[in-house]
Amino acid sequence: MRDGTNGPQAGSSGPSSNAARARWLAILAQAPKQVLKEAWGRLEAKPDYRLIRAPETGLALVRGRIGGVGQRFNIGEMSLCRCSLAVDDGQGGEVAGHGYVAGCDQDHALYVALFDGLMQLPPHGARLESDLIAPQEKTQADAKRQSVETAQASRVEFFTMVRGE
Amino acid sequence: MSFVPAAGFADPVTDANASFRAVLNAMAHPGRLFSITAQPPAPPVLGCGLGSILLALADRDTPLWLSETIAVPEVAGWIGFHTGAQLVGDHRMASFVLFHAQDRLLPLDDFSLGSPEYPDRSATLLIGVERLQEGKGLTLSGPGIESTNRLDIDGIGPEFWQARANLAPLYPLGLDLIFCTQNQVAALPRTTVVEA
Repeated sequence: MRDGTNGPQAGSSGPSSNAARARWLAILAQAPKQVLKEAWGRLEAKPDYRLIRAPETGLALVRGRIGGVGQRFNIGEMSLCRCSLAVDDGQGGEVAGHGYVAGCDQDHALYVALFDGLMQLPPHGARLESDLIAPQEKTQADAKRQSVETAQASRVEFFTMVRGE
Repeated sequence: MSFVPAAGFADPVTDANASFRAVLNAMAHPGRLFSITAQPPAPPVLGCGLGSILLALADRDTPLWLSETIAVPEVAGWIGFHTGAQLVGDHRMASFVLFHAQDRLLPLDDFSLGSPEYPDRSATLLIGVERLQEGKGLTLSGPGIESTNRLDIDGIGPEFWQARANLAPLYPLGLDLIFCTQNQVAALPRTTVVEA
């Protein structure tokens, strides 16, 4: 799969908006597709959009430090879907929306790209923040905390008795 | 408003395959015209012929050099987004060199001609022209042509052919040329002999 990530980063203007965008993209990418689909269905005025890069499935190499130490190394490949589109801003212009999600669900990537585009448009952005992004952020944080607590509760400390005293 | 690129191929797999096949056929049959059927919405200054070939051939391992008339932000953004190819300022570094027939001609021996160990690492020139016509114009001979073939390329002057002929003694080093209009492509690999 070709990678356009060194192309122009459309729709960004400075480090602060990049950080905000990274936050909502992360939340959107981890939100279940059903949630995004319902949120899209709830929109009264659905904007027009055109596809720049239709949803496509490919592989990405994941690198990391498996033991948490040393150099990063190739862990393996994962499938992912991506999509890029241009959302009509209703004033004769358009903004680019990009979606990258894990897995093979191309519609999921499409919804992420759509909401990424909408989040950049002031009238939609504020409402989606309270309607979709913030609740999802809380749901995801709760789920993560719960899984950490479950893991912590089952933690076993191994130790060795000192012998011969 | 920030830059939003135009779309690429309507059907990425089929269109890329068809465009690649057209270039492959053109290289195998120097001077013969082949159709480019894909019509991606490439920026007009690039044209959909050159655009299709780039989408099919360029990727992040092929540095590109664009002539002044082509190197506008709209084109650079479109190519960067869809192919991931690096645009280089130094034309000697480029794998693909893009220009139009009417652009100022650079010395051909300035482009990468490959090395004796790796003659395939030479540059490929992609040249946008207004019109290509078989059966008249230049007389071509060499591998891939049974006797001779004739091709008329609009807007390429005799000084270009002289500069190209000067590279012939360097074989197997050399440059491969791909000429294209909006919907047709013809190629002149380094082995083809051109007589005006």
